[in-house]
Amino acid sequence: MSKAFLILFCSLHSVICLSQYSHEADSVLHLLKTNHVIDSNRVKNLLVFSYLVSDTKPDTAMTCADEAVNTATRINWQKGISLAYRQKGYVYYALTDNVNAMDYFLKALKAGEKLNNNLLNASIYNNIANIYADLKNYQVALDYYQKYLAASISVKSQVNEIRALSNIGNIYIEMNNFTVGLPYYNRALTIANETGNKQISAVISNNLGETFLKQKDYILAKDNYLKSLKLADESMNIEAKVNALNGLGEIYLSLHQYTKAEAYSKLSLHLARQLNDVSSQANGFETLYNIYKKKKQFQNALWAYYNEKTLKDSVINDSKTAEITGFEMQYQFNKKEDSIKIADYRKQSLSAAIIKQDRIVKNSIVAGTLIVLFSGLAVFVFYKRKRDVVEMKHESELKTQAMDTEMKALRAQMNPHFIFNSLNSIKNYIDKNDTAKASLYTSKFAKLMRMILENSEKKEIPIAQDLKALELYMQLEALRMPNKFVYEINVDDAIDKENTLIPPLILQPFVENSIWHGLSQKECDGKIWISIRKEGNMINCVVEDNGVGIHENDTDEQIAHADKKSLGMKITKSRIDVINRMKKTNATVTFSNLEEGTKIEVRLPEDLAF
Amino acid sequence: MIRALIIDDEEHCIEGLQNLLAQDHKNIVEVAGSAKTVRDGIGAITLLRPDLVFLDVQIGDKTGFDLLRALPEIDFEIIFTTAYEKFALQAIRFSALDYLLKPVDPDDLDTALIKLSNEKARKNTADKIDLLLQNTQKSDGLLKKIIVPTMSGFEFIEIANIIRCESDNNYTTIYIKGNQKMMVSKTLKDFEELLSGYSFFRIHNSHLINLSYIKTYNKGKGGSVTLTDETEIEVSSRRKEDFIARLSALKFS
Repeated sequence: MSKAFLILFCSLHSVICLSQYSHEADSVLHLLKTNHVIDSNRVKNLLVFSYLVSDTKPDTAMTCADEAVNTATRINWQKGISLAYRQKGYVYYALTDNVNAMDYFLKALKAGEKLNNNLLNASIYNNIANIYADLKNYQVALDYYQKYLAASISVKSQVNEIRALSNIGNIYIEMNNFTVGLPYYNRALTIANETGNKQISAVISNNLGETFLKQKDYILAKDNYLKSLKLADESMNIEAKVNALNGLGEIYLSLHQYTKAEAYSKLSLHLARQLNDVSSQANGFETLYNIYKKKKQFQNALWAYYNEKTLKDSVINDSKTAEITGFEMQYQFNKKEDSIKIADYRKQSLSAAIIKQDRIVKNSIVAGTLIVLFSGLAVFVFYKRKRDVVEMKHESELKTQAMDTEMKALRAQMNPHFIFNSLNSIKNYIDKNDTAKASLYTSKFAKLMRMILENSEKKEIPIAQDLKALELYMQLEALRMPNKFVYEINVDDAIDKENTLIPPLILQPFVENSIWHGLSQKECDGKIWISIRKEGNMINCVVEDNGVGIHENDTDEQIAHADKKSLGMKITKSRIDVINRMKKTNATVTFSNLEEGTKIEVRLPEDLAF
Repeated sequence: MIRALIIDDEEHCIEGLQNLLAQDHKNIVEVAGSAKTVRDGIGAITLLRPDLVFLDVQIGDKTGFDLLRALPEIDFEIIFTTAYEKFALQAIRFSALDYLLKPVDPDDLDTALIKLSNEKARKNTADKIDLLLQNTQKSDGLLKKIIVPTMSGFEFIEIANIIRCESDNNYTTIYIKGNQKMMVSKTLKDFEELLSGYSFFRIHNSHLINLSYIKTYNKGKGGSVTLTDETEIEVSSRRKEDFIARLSALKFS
C-alpha cells in the first residue's frame, strides 16, 4: 500500500470533492461553449475543465490544456502560459508519462519564475518533487518539497504548508526514518486541524495510521485510522475512507479478529470499486485473501487471490513501465535541470543547445589545444631523443675522428724528424767526398722512407712489418756510424709476428735515442737489444742498450741536448696516451737507467689481426 | 752475359743504375746502351736487341707501356723502374712482372737479377706483357685480370671470378667460379695486398673472400659467411667490426 502524496492541482480552486466533479465540469464546459472571447478567463476555464477531466478523460484534458497554452501565448499572458504548462504536466503525470510530465513542469517553472509568483512556483515544486518521490529519488524529492514548504510559508498558504509538511513526512517514513518523519505529520495535522481542513486531516491521519501499523503499534494505528474514518466521512473524502477502512481491516487481521477484519476490508473494497480505484481494490483483495487464509476459507481465499493478482498485475505493469523509463528520465531530468541551472546562473536567455554547443566548441578548443600540445611534446621528446642519439653518435664519431687526426699528426711528425736526421748523414758523406757511401745511404734511405710512409698511413701493422722498417733504420745508422754498434732482434716464439699488430714506428724513437745519445758517445762494442715478449695478454717491447745512459752528474747541456733530441720519444708517449684513450687500454712506457745503458719498455695490449 | 738497355728520361737515374750494375754485377750484366725517350727506346731495342730492358714507367709525357705497345714483338725481359706510381705498380704486380723502385737499393737489384736467372720466371713474358697492356688500357682504372704462378707455369685469372683464397702456409688455394681451384706458391698476404682496392676482404687469418660472392652473413661471436658456392667460412671476431663496416659501405655504394 502506497502513501497518498498530496498533489496540488490548481491554485484557482480549493480542494474539490469527488461528488462535485461532474457538476463543476459541466458548468465550466457550458461556459467554454457559450463564451468564445479570447481572454485570460477562457484560459482559466480551459484549465479548470482540463483539470476536472484529467483522470477520467485524459485526451480531452490534454486538448484543453494545449488550447490553454495557445490562447495564453496569443494574449501574451505569462502566468497563463505557466499554468497551462503545469496542467499539461499534470495530465502527463496522470497518464504516468513521467518524462513529459517533468518536461512540462520544468517549462512551467521556467515560465513562472519570471513572474515572482511564489505560490505558482510552490505548486510546481510539489509536482516535481512528487515525480522524484515516485522514482524513489528521495534526496532530490526532499529538496523540492523543502522549496515547496518555504514558498508556501512565504505566501502564507497554510493548505500548501500542510501538503508540504505531509509530503516531507511521507518521504522520511518511506526511508524508515520515523523519528524525523512523524513530527512532520504531527505539524501538518496540527495546522490542518487548526484550519479545519478535515479532508487533509483524514489523509494525514491515514498516513499516521499506516506508519504505526508498520511499527506494529496497533493501538495507535487503530486510533488514527478511526480518526481518519470520521474526518473522511465528515469531509466526504471517499479515497481517504477507503484507505482508512482497509487499514482497519489489516489491524484486525493482525489482531486475529478475522470477522471484524473481513467486514472492514469488504467495505473498503466496495467503496474502492465505486471509485474505480484499481490500486485500492488490489489492496482490499490482498487483505481479504490473508483473512480467508487465516479463516481457512480456501475457496474465498483463492477468489481474493485471483482478483488481487489480476488487479496488481495492471498496477505492476504501470509501475514497471515507470521503472523502465526511470533511467531515461533520470538522465533527461538531470539534463533539463542542468540547462535550467545554467540559464539561471548566467541570467541569459541562451538556449541550452547554444550553451551546449558553446561548451562543445570550448571543450573542442581546449581538447584540441591539449592534443596539439601533447603531440607536440611527444614529437619533441621523440625527436630530441633521436637527435640525442644521433648527436651522441656524431660526437663519439667526432671524438674518434679527432683522435685519429691527432694520431695521424703524431705519425706525420715522425717523418720530418727522421728525414732531417738522414739528410744530415747524407750531407756528411758528401762533405767527406764518399760518393759511394752517399749513394748507398740515399738508396737505403729512400727505401726506408717508402716503408715509413706506407706504414704510417695505417693505425696498426703486423710486428714483422714494423721490425723490418726498424731493422732497415738500424742498418742505415750502422752505415753512418761504422763499428759503433751491433743489434739483435728477438721475438718470443709465442708471438705470431704476422698476426700481432702494433702501432707503426712505436719503437723507432727509442732505438734512435739509444743510438744517438747512448751509443754515439761510446767508443766501441755498442749493442742494442730489441726483444718482443708476450706477458699475459700484453706485448712487452723492450729496447735496451749498453750506452752511456743518462746520469745525475750529466751536465745541463747534455740534458738539454737529450731533451731536444728526444722529440720522437715525447711524440711516442703522446701516441700511447691517445691509444689508451681511444681503445680504453692501459699501454705504458717505462724508462729505466741501467748500470750500463738504458732500458725502455713499451707495454701494449695484445692485438691480433685475426 | 746479359745485355741490358736502360730507358729513363733522367740522366742521373741512368747513371745511378749503370754505377750499381758496374759495381756489383759487372760479371753478369753488360749495359749495351740507354735511351731517354720512348722513340729512342724503340730504336735502341730494335737496333741493340737487348736481353733485358730496365724500363722507366713515366718517360716524359709518355709511358713505358706506350713503348711496349709500339713494339711488334717482345723478346726480352723487362724490369720496370719507377719512383712512385701506385697504379702502374699494381698493374705490374698483377702481371707478375718485376720492378725496382728508384733510387734503387743494391739489395733489391740483387734479388731482381737472381729472379731473372731462374728459367721458370722467364716463361710467358709475352703473355704477362699482354695482360699488362690490357690492364693499363682500361680507362675505368680497375684492372680485370691477374696472372698467377702455378706449378706448371702461369695462369690468367679474371678477378671477378675469384670466389675466395685460402691460406695453406706458404701456398694459397684460389677458388674460382665453376668449381675450379688452383694452388699458388704465394702467401695469402701477397694476395691480400695484390687485391687491395678490389672487393676482397680478409675475414680470417686463412681466408680472403670476394665480397661479391657472399650469400648470407650469419650472426655470432664473429659470425660466419656463406658464399654462393655454399661454403661457410668463419669470420674472425677481431675482423667482425671492420667486416660489417665494409659490407655496409658496399651496400650503399
